Amino acid sequence: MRIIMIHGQFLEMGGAERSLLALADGLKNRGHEVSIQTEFTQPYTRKDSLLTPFRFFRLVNRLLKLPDSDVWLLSIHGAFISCPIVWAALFIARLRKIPTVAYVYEEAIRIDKFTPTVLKLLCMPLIAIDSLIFKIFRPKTVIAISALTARTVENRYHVKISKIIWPCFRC
Amino acid sequence: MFSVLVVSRLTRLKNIESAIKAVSLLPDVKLIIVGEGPDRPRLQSLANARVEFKGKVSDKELDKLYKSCDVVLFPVLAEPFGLVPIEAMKRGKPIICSREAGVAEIVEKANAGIIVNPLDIKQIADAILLLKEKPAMRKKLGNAGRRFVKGLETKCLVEFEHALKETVREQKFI
Repeated sequence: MRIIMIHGQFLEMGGAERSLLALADGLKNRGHEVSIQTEFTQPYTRKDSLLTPFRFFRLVNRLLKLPDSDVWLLSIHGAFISCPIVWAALFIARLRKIPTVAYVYEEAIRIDKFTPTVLKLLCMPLIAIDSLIFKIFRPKTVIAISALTARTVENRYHVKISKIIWPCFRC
Repeated sequence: MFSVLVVSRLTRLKNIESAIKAVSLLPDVKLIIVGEGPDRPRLQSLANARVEFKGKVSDKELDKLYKSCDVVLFPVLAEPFGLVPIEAMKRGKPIICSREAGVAEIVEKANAGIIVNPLDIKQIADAILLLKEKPAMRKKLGNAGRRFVKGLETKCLVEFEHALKETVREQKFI
């Protein structure tokens, strides 16, 4: 299979990045053709991470020009800036008739015990947009990395999780 | 001295504070913290002499630290998964894992550690004390974790490959 992984944010070598690389390696070792597309490629730093309109355009352009593949794997993890990239990828995949699999590492907008109430309220419209776009351009398969993530995503985004698959790892 | 290992980025969400407070309740227990982050100065101000901050370490050194510790503590307040407990299980170490981490379901299923409320300092301290006093239990949990993790990566990979193939085969949009 020709698999293209789209990982919006590659800022540091956290768990999501490590397991994504392990998954890519594992699939390669099983004979698949795998490539990773990302816009931010500055591991270990959080500098230069702003999604500017120019960068967004560049990424969209790149997604439009990608060679044919059998499936796009969208890696979804916690940051506001991931959302527009995932939205664009879902839209372009639909245009190009490429099936998509979303791998939800964590909810696209991270809200936790430390998030101030004001910020939580400000996040609501973004969650609503995210949820709506997911419904319109729904990926064929939505995988969550744990039951906890599945519960959060289903409750917050009303997106049905197809499967729970624990992440790949290399220890 | 009985040693507890924490491997984490030092931010509030990782809740290292609870680990430091729990260890301060117990005599003859030291806490080794691996990782860097913006919360380090605050955590250092809370720590006593039995807490050691290692900062960023190489993979080789991290491997040594995993092997030499007695217990691995994962006290996060929120984490969709968490690879540290898996790394500990692979090395046959028992884990004290936050119930707020996605990986807790693996730790529980594997019977590889103790699940705690990350905000309950006493519960964390009790779990450390229990494992300190019962070496046989430590060994049992560690072995169970090691057995469970063996082959887990391949299993996850095969499941993932199956999901991808299924998606491509159906090739239809909802």
